[in-house]
Amino acid sequence: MNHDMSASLLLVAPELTLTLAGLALLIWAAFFGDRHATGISIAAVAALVGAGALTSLAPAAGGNAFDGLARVDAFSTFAHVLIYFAAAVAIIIAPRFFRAHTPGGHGLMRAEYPILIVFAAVGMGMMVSATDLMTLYVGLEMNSLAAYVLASFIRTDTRSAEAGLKYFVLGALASGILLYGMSLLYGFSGTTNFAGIAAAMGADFSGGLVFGLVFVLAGLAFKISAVPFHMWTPDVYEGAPTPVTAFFASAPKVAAMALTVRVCIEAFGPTTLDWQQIIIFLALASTILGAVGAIGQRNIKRLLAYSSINNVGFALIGLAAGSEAGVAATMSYMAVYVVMTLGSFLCILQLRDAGGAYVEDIARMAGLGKARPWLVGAIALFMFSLAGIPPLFGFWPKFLVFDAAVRAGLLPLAIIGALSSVISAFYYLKVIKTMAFDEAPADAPQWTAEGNAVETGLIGFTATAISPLGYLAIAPLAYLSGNAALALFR
Amino acid sequence: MTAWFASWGLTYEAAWLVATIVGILAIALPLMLAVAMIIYADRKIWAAIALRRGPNVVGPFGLLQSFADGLKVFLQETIIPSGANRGLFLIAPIITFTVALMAWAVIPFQAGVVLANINVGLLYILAISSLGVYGVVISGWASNSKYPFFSALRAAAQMISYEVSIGFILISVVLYAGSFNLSVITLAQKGNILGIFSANGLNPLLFPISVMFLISSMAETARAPFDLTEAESELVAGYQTEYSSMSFALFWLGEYANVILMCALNAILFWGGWLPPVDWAPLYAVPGIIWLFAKILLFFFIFSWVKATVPRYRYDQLMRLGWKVFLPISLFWVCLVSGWLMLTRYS
Amino acid sequence: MTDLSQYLPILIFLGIAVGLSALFVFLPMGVSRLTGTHNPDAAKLSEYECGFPAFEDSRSQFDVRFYLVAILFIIFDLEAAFLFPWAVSLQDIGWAGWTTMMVFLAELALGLVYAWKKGALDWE
Repeated sequence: MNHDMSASLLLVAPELTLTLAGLALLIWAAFFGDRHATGISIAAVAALVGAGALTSLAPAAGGNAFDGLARVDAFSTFAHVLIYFAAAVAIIIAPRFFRAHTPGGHGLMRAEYPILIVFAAVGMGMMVSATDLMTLYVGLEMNSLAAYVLASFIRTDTRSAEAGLKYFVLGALASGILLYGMSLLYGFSGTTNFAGIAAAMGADFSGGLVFGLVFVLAGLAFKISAVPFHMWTPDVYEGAPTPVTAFFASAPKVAAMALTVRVCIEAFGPTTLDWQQIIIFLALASTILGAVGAIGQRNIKRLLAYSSINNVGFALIGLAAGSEAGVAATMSYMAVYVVMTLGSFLCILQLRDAGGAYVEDIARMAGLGKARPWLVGAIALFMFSLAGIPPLFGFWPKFLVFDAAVRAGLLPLAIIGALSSVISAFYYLKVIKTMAFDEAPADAPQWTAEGNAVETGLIGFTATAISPLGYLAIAPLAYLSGNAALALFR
Repeated sequence: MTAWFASWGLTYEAAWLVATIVGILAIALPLMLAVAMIIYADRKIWAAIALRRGPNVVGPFGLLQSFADGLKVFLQETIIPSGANRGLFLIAPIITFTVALMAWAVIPFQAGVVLANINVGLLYILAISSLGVYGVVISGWASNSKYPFFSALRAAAQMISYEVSIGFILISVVLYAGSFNLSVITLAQKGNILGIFSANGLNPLLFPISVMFLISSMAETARAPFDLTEAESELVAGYQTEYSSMSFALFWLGEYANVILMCALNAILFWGGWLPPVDWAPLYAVPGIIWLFAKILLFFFIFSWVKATVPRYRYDQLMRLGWKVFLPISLFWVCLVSGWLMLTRYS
Repeated sequence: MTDLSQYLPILIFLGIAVGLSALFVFLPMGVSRLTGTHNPDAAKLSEYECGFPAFEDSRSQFDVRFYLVAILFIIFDLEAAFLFPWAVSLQDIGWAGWTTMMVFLAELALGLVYAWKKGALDWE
């Protein structure tokens, strides 16, 4: 082992930790089975926390690992922490849900769930620090393969199986498109390294490189579920088990968004004016379709799927600006978005009727305000924040991305974004109106107030973070996201 | 050979083409003859072990039995079942036989005597032999009949299961020789055991996997005791049930051509190929091709012997042997051999 | 170095082998028409069954374990595909290359242990 190798291994210490932990937990699960699922979950969360702590080892100036295959810098660290946080939450909220859903009702969660999340986290960690097409693809696939299994985790449920299959088929198609674009980039630039591709693009941007750029962006747009590559999102979000949906809506979104940002800035940097057009289109289409598509939804998970499409559009507006401030705004947006969306899903997970079954139909939630006022209050908070209504923290990152867009001379984009934000406020308000003010229908579920200290605590935490108190976090958030953006524009 | 044809006044390209085609025919036609004789030998050995006389009517000692059988099937009617997919039904035996022939292109019969001396010969053999499963699966599907269908499923699962461990075993051999080229692998064995014997199989580190390879090659070619694909008490004649005439015979020919190929691979990879077993100058007076054939025949005798004496495996036993015994051991052996080489040869 | 001309004989061999096999399949079909052995009838053309028409479509559902074997095969065959180039370049890549591959093999071995314990390798 030479010095270079050990330095590289130190840089990827979080991924290394998670990989080893995942393998150890896999063997643990193989020998002791689902009876030890709780222990395995705790260990997996501990591993994620440990990996999160290890990200602090990253040198402030950033460092290249494995001869430029990966780069660890403020940008990757920022995304790492967000991803590990979301992944840990996805594990914590799972046991109660799966206990209600296990076939035969023996009340056990499958031990593979936390392990798959850990492996997905390894893949996402690789994605955000990738500076080479190889690392990019391996990380992406590692995350996707775990995600396909997670989507169909309740095997006996047809909706879950359907979600997994749809995600798999469309995901494979997107991977193919991405791979095709990557092969074109490699073929016409002669390198898989981002810096090398940027150099080739700077020298002569034509022919294969154009197609390569378009295909790669299309493949990545699928992963962040930006319109027009969003078709899978509502079906998968609806069919997948709710903790998995919460996971899909948070961690992989951050990873894919960070990856898209890094690819655009580091690999396609010299052609900003070219990819900007694509990103602007994706941003516009996502915000508008995400807002309009959500209006007719009756299932709360489908509605949140459209909401996530809509939010990805806003985050892309920051990237579309193509400036350092824009990237910082995008990363801030993703950070706040993760908190809002996890909070929303945490609330949805509390919506159980007397039989313990989860209620997802919005119409049946009428009258919830009388039975569970605090819960409806929290949901209202998250919905208002997602809509970006000013006193709440959800407003701040929206302001940042619009500001960055306007500064980059994209005033029309900012205006259309703001307008679609108004449309989206309509359906968020509709949900709150149904819950808080509508009369309970005759077949309304008997809501159980059975709570769980950890989940209540998490709801409290996320709600506080997005409440006006969150504005206290502006300074550290601006500092961190600013550093992250600076790392890309070094 | 090209030079000899060129001396007839042909251009180099034309001479090369003629020489290549003659070379191909010199492999394919004797191979078919060899298959005919080896079927006869199989039946004779089997009969002898069962204290019977075997074929003894057609020709002296029944030597022409296979040719008589061949003529018979040639003149038979080719029946294509009404429910079958005609095209696929007829393509299946073509695939099987073609693939069985193709693999021989890279087998070195003697120093420098090989049709295509490619540097990834072993990889080519692996690739071609894994194509063989298509003939079986297509025939099972195209027949549209119950027994061929089950047989094809079994055959596919069996072949791919053993292909995995065969792959790992081959890697150990490749590690030792440092090449995929079968000629290089053969020559690397020259006097490799104490300067006396030429055989990887006598190397204590490689002997266990040579035994595993022998067993795996029986399973890969679906020979008894692993002939579950045509277990006559359960599946009539397996995937060949609906076939008749030469289409049927092609499966038969392909199967035996594969058996001889596996015998040749055993000889080349572990027992010195065309080299004499003892690295002693006078033995080199005998042409290498004779040594190779002698080794092939020896292995074929083992194949027949096993077929005649060992009862058939159950399917679960077969899969257990492949996945739970051979796979872990061969995987471990790759680590062992590579580690040993790193310690002794490359460091 | 790679000598691609060595692959041309294989291509010619492929042509000859396919031609030979096709001849063996189609020639007897022609011959049997000439000799008059070609004489199909409905019973002869029906699929093989024990004296009665088949009860059900032969291409029925079959055991999911066959899929499982196929999936496991893909994993381990790919693993072998990674090992091949490694095996011939071991001399050049040294201990670093060896260690890397051993880590890879160890991870796959853990996967095998998992599949084994979960019963994916059982045929009962």
